[in-house]
Amino acid sequence: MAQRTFLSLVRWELEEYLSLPVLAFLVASAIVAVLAQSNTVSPMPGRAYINLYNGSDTVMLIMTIGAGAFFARTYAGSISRGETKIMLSYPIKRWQLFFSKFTAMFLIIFVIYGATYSMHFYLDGIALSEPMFFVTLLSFLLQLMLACSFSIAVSMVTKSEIMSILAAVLLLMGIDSVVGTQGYFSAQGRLYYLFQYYGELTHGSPPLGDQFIVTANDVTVAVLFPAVVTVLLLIGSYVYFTRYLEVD
Amino acid sequence: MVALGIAASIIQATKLVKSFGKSLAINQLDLQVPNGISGFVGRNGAGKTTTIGVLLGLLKPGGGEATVFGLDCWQDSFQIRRRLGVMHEINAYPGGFTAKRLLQHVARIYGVTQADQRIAQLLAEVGLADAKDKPIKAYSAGMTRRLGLAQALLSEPEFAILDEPTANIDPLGRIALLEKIKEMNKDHGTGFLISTHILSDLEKVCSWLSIIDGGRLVDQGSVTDLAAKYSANVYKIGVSEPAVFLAKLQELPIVKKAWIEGDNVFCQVQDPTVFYSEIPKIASNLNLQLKNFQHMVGTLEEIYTRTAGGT
Repeated sequence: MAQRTFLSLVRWELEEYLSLPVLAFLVASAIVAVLAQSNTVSPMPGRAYINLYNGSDTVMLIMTIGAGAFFARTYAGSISRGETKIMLSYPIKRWQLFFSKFTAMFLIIFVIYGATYSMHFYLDGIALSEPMFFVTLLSFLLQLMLACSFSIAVSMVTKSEIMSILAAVLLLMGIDSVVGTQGYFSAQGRLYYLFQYYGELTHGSPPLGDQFIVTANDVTVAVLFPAVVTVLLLIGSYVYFTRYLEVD
Repeated sequence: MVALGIAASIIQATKLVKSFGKSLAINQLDLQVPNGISGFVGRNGAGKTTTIGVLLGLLKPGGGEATVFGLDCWQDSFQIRRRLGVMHEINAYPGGFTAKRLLQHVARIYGVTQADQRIAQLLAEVGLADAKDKPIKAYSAGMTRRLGLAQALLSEPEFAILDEPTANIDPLGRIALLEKIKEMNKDHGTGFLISTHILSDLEKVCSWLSIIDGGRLVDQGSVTDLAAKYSANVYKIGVSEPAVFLAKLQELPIVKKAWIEGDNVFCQVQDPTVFYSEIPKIASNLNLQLKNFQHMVGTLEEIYTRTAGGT
C-alpha cells in the first residue's frame, strides 16, 4: 500500500511537471548549454577531450542553476503556494511526499541534462561507449546531487522559492569561484581529477596534459566531498520535512 | 457552555495552544465538535485556519491536546487523514491537470474503488461535468471551490473539514453545495465541520456551532441552545435619537446590557413585562419617536454578534 501510494505520488509529480512549462525551460536550457559550448571547441585534431572538458563548464553551470531553481520550486515553491498543505491533508506519509518530489524532479533533470551531456560527447566526436563518458557522467551526477541537496536544504530553511534559488545557486557558484577550477570542491575541479585519473587508467596518459599528477586519493576526496555533503544535507532536510515542518 | 461526552465528540481540543514566534494564534482553546454538521465561526485572524491546521497534523500544537476520532492530531495524523476529507481555503491544485485527472490521482491515494464512476458522479453533483476536461488553471475561483469540495468528498469520508466552502460560489451554486452537504450527512452519515464567514449558509445546515475569537473559544453548543441563550430577552428598538434613549435606558435597573448598532438600540433585560411598559414611557418623556420594537429571535448572525461580534 505504502509503495503504491509512493508510486502514485511520483506519477502525480511527473505529470505535474510535464504539464507545466518546467519541461520547456529545462529543454531550452539544455539546448543553450550545448550551443554555448561551440565557443570553446577547437577543431584541431586530438583536442576532443580538451574540448569536452572546457565545454562541460557551461553544461555544469546551467545544470546547477536549473537544478537549484527547479528543486526550489518543487519544495519551497510548493510550500509557499499551498500545494504541500493540500497534499499533506491526504493520507500521505511525509516521507512519501519528500521522496516522490525528489525522485520525479531528479529523474526529469537527470534525463534532460544527461541527454545534453550525451549530445556534448557526440559533438566532440567521442563515442558514448567510451569509459570517459561514464566517468564524466559520474561527475555530472555528483554536481546534480549537490545542487539539488543544497536547494532542498535552503528550501526547508527559507520556505521561499526565490530565496532558495538564489541561495543555492550563489552558494554553489561561490564555492566554485573560491576554490578555483582545480580545487577538490568545485564542479570543474572534480571533473578535472576524474578526467585525468581515469583517462590515464584507460588511455595511458592524462587527457588534459600531465602538468599535475592526480592520485587515487585526490579522486577519492573529490568524489567523497560532494557525496558526503549531499547525504548530510538530504538527511537534514528529510528529518526536518518529516518531523518538524509546519505547513501553515 | 454545553459539554459533550467524549464518545460523542469527533473533534476534541483541550487547552490547545499554538503560537508563531511571539504571536499566539490559539490560546487555551477548548473545542468540541460532535458528529453532524457543525459551524466554526470567528472573525479574520480568530484562529480558525490555524486550528484546522493543528487538527490535520500540519501544525504542531505548542500545548494542550487535540484529537480527531479519539486519535492524537500530531502523532496519529496519518490515521486521521485516512478517514477525513479536507477542503482548504487555498486553491493550490496543479493548474496543468484537468479536474478529472486530479480526482483520479486523489482516488488512487485514497484507494477508491470504481473511481471513474465515482468521479463522474461527483463532478456532475458539484456542477463541473462540462468542465471536467479543462485544465484547472482555466477555472474560475468558484469552479475551483467546487473542485475542492469534490476532492474532499471523493473518498466518502466519515467526516469532512471544509474551510470557507462557499466562498466565490454564486448563489445557486451555494444552495446546491449546501444541499449536497445535507444529503451526505443524511444518506451517509458524513459529519462536517464548516469554517465560514457566511453565517446565513451555516444557518441552513448546522446543528452545532463553535465560536472563536482571539484564539479562544467564546462559546459552543447546539444552535438551538445558543439561540435561546443569546436571544433571551434581547430587544431591538428603533428610535429617533438612539444615544439619548440609550442613556435613559441604562438607568433602568431591569436592563442588564444596552448598546447601539446602526440606528437601533439593543438591550438585554431581566423582566420583559416591566420593560414593555417602560419603553413607551421613556420615549414619551424624552419626546422621542418610537419607530419599531422587536424581540430578537435567535439567528446565527445574532448569536455571533452577541458573542464574538464585539458588543
